[in-house]
Amino acid sequence: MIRSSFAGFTTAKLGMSASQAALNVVGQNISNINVQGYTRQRVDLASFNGSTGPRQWGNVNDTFIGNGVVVNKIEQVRDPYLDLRFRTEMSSLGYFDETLGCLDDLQSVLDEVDKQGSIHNQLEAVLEALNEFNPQAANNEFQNMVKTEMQLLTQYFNNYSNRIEQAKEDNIKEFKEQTLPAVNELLKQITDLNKSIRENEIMGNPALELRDQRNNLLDELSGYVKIEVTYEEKNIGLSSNTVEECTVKLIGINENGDSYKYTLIDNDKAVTFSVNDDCSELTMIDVNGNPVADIGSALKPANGQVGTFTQAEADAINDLIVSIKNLSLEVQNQMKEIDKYNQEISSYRAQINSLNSKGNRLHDELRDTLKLANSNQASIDNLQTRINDMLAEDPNADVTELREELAKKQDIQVLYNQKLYGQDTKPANLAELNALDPNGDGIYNKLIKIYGPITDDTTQPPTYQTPAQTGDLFTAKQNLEQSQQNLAAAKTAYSNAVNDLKVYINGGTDSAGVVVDGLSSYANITVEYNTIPVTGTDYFISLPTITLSGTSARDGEGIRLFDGETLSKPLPGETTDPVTGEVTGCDVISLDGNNVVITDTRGVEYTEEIADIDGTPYQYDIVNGAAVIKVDSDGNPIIDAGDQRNMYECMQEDSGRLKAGLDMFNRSGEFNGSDDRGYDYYINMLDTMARQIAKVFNSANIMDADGNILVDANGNPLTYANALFGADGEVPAKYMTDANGNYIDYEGNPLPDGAEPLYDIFKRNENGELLDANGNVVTDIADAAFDPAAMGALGFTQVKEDTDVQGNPITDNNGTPVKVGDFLDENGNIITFDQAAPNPTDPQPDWEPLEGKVPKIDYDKITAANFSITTDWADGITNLVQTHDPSQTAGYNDNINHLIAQFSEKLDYTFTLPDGTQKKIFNGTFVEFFDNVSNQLGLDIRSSTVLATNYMTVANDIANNRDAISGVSLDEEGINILQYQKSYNAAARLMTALDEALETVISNMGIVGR
Amino acid sequence: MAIGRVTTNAMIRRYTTNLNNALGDLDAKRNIVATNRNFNSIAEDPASAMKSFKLRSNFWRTGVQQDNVDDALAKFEEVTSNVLNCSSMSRQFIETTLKGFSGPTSSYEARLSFQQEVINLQESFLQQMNGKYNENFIFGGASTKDLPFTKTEDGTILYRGLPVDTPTSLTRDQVSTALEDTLNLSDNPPTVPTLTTALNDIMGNSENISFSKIKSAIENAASLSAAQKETLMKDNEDVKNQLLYDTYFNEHSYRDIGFGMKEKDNEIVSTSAFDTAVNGLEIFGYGVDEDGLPNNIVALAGELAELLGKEHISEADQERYDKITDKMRSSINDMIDNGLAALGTKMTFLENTQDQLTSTSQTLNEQISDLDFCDPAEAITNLMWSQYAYNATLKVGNSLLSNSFIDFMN
Repeated sequence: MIRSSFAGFTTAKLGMSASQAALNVVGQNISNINVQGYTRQRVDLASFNGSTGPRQWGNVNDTFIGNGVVVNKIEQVRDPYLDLRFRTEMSSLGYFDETLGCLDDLQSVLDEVDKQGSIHNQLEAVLEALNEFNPQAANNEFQNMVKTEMQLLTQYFNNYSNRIEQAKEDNIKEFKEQTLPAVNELLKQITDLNKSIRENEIMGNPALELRDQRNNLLDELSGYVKIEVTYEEKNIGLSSNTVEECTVKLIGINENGDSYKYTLIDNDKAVTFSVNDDCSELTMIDVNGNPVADIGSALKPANGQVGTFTQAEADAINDLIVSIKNLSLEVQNQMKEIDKYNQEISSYRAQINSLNSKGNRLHDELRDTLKLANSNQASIDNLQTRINDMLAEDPNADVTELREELAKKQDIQVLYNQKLYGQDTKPANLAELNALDPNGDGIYNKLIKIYGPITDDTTQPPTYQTPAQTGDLFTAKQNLEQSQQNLAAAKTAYSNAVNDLKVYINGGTDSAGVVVDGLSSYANITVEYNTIPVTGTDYFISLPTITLSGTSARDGEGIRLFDGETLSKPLPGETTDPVTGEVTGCDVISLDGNNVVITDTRGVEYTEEIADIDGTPYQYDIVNGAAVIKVDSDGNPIIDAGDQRNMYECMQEDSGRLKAGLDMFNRSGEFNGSDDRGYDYYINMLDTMARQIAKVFNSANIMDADGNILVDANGNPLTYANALFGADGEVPAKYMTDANGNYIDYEGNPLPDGAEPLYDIFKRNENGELLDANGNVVTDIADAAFDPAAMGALGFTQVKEDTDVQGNPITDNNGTPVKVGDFLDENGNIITFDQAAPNPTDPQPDWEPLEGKVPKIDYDKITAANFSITTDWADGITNLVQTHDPSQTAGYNDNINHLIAQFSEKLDYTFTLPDGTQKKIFNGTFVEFFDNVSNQLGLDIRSSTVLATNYMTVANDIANNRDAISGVSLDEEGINILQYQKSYNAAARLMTALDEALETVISNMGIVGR
Repeated sequence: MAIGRVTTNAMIRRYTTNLNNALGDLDAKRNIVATNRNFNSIAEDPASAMKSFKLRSNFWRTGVQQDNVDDALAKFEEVTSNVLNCSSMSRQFIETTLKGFSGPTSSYEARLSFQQEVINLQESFLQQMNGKYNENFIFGGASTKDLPFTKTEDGTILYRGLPVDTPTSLTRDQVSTALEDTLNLSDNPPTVPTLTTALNDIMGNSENISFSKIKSAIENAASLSAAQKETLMKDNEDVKNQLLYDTYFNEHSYRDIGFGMKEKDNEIVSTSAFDTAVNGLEIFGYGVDEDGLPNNIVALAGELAELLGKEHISEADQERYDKITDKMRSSINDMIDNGLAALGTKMTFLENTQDQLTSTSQTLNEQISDLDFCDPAEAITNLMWSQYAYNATLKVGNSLLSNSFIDFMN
């Protein structure tokens, strides 16, 4: 190609433009140097060559000079791998930073370093007061000193517990009102940016600055939750142009604890998080606006009543799903049949064709062979005639030569016969012909095998029996016909199954004429048909995938009830007929008490509670011993929309601020078997300690070393009301309850509503199990022994002797002989089990002595928050018992010494698990226990600080690395200014040079060199 | 970490981090100097904090124990002083008053006047023996609120209800009588063999049983029912008195003076605490001697007074007078030798413990100081270093945004 004279100007112009663009980019970089998150931009320059490749008529000497430079695009310099690493570190840093914030709250309460007023010091103060009281045991003012110190101690417990509770509440409030809204806002902002970026990209603008903003927001989001960000180029249809779509996923775990990614942002749609009141459940509305696993709104009862559902409907859905599966299997099987028959048909057709062409070939051969055989026969006949004639003329005529020839011809005729009939002789008649060996090699043999018996062999080709009754051709045609019929039947069955499938999904009349309520009349479903290859064939079938509309199993996909692609997998709870292999039942949806349970095709269970319109779960009414579900005014149980999946349980350990906050609110270390110690751990520890103190002091004030109730100077038993510590000033009584905490009577039956609870008076072990007199665990309350301390506390005296001084048996007031260990009531009569354990129908026994007394103390009801000295002690109605020897006079102090010694005693600290059993949590003295609590906190803070610092350092390093790639360097930009300025000048200078050169051509051509 | 490009913002970030660290360090060091503490929260140094808590507990308890020792010492000083008073009073009585008295042969009037002197002495004694420390009676053993020594109308001296001249053992006959009462033999004639068995059960082959053995002997008597045992111990005066002796000689009033006061079987282990109970019987005497004279000096004085009050003094009385006065002399010596010596040992022990506790307290204090409080020289040096480092960092910051290539472009 001949280059245009002015092409150079364009080159120069492109050079100038490119330099200009580059200088502008430098300007953008320099001016944005201080913008947070700004990513350095770069001009992507490419050399431009407008040549069009080899040319047919081109001059071989042509040169291909480039046409200058073009600005390809303006791009950002960014390393996605660093973003990934940075965000991972940020989520860990966020976790420990948030944890530290909460632990700092606890530290301000529990850290007693350099604190004068503290539980540690107060324990010492109590001990000191006891020591001062010791030699002054009879002086009330010294007892009051002890009382005051103990009162102070309980107030410290109240104060610590309240402050921790308050800190927890404040943090929950912050979490609900600031943290979570901030995350939701971030998600929304990112989707807004995604939208803007997409719109810009469609217009051709790469929207680099918006991406910077988005990266900033993603960095921020990564502090809250552990995320993975992916970008995908999507074609926008009109041209080869693509736009980028950004997806953000939460890296979490599924119900099996395996890694699983949950979509948070799908380009322009984002999830919304919400949390319940006590922050134990974090739920989310998925990207399509559906609350996760909202089963309730998807189920559609047959009666049209929104939000109702019954067992019958659950059964109907299961039956429909079974039918749909069977029909899908039928579709698949019929397609296999169709394939089979089609193959058969083509095989039979090929067979017929082959038989026909074979027959045609044989007919041709027959004609030719018959011609030759007949001609040979004619020669034989001719020779015979000649011989006969010659011998007739002259019997001695020499016919030797003729005979030889005849014999030769006859031999040949045998060969022809062999060829025609498979034998040496020709069959005499048609019957013989048809009786030829069908497997013989003769042409007739073969023809008869193919076409059946010959009715006329004189025609060419022979005439065969019509209609044919036998013969290979006949058989093949028959087979073909059969297969064609089968195929037609299979096709009908297939199309019936396909139609029925739709009927069972959408409702209508099926192929058998039965009217069916489709699945869609029981639930809002979304049906998609997918093309699925049928294995072993070349065919495809279309089978449905059915999901509950408006639900979200994961990632915004609905809960899948049926999936045609996983037909070989059994349905949840599938049963099959062992003979036919047909599916007979399944358990996709079931009613379990108050819950609707759906198991999706992956085997994941989703549960929703039946509740009234306020969301209150329904209770069962017991009518004549049978459970009856309460119903609404229309007589229907109602399902609410609640009970969504708890995303808190779907988050990885130690990732993100959200998880950290929730961990601190929900985890209480050993108390609920978790690894982290949140607010509740410390509250529980304080509770445990308060209980221990109450137990030690109360026991010392009520019982002697053998566990028998103490008596006063007059020999009357001191009751549990003599306890020093209680809850809110009262001693909490232990009542008869079942494992669920409901009040029961002494026969184990539930108490009627409003009845006074009965005191627990039985011997029990530390786990609350009933014991008999020998200390063995029993299950029947009738075998249980009375607890002497509890009975004593109720004012009942225990029989110690069954014979008097003279050895005569002692009787009670009714004349009944007593036994050692029996209890007597205030009238001096034996309390039998029946009397202590009233039958609900019996009149209540006289519980007069119970008044104002507490038989057993329920220490679980004492918490650090309500821990207090009893009002009776505070008012001086009860006193700290100084001696366990009631016969001794004032001044005895053995109990005070006992209490002082308890401060050096290593005690077992236990707490009650939800199942009622006791678990040991610590062994040590009071002070050691408390020091251990604060030390535990110190260690937790220390380890979290170390980890947070560590993640911070790494995150900083990565940020620096990111800057090293994406940050603006003034030196570099300065050099770029010079470089592009020079190149701009050079391009301009080129223009001058070209101008001068053209000037030569235009003005001076012809006179140059004159 | 290889960094290809160095950018302004990365430099600023690094600098900010470093400056922040330097300032944080400076703040921490300044805090140490200002508070004079090595750590201000457990998290800063959990191991030291734990140790410190333990030491402070010990320190606090040592203080309490010191108070206990001081208190016990003061009580014993009071006891000693009272005993000394008694001894000097009695010495004076014997050496001056008694010498000035010509003996039981003197006139009735003279005897009566002397008798008054003896009664006065008795009163003075009782005053000292019922002495108090800190509102508590000091000679009442573990009982501190009830008057330990009282004198009845008939002149019997009681120690917490128990006549001080009660013999310290019971004879076989006494036990037999007690059993007879208890078993009420007259109403239940067929139990004679039971009495013998019961007596043998309690006494074995011996003729006497001392107060320290009688309780276990009765409790272990196989032939007696629980009710009978209880009646015997509660209703029979002789047995009851023996049991009172047993109680009074076995009671304690423990104080924690730093031997790790511990309980075993719900009783304080005696070696783990200090017993501050002072039994007045032990110091002033109890029981009777082979002549039937009370060992208690006040009761003895009572005997003397009674003898002097007789109108006619027989020879036997005269003999008895000599015996009484002799016994009084030896009783004083006993009181000083045994009572005071035992008290002295206890007090020396308390004083030694006091010294020991004082030095423990000092050691603990030092340990706490070492652990909690910083060495000012070291802390200030560290502060200076941090200050220096911070200043240096600041200075670097000044030149951080130095010229770039752009500044040198033409």
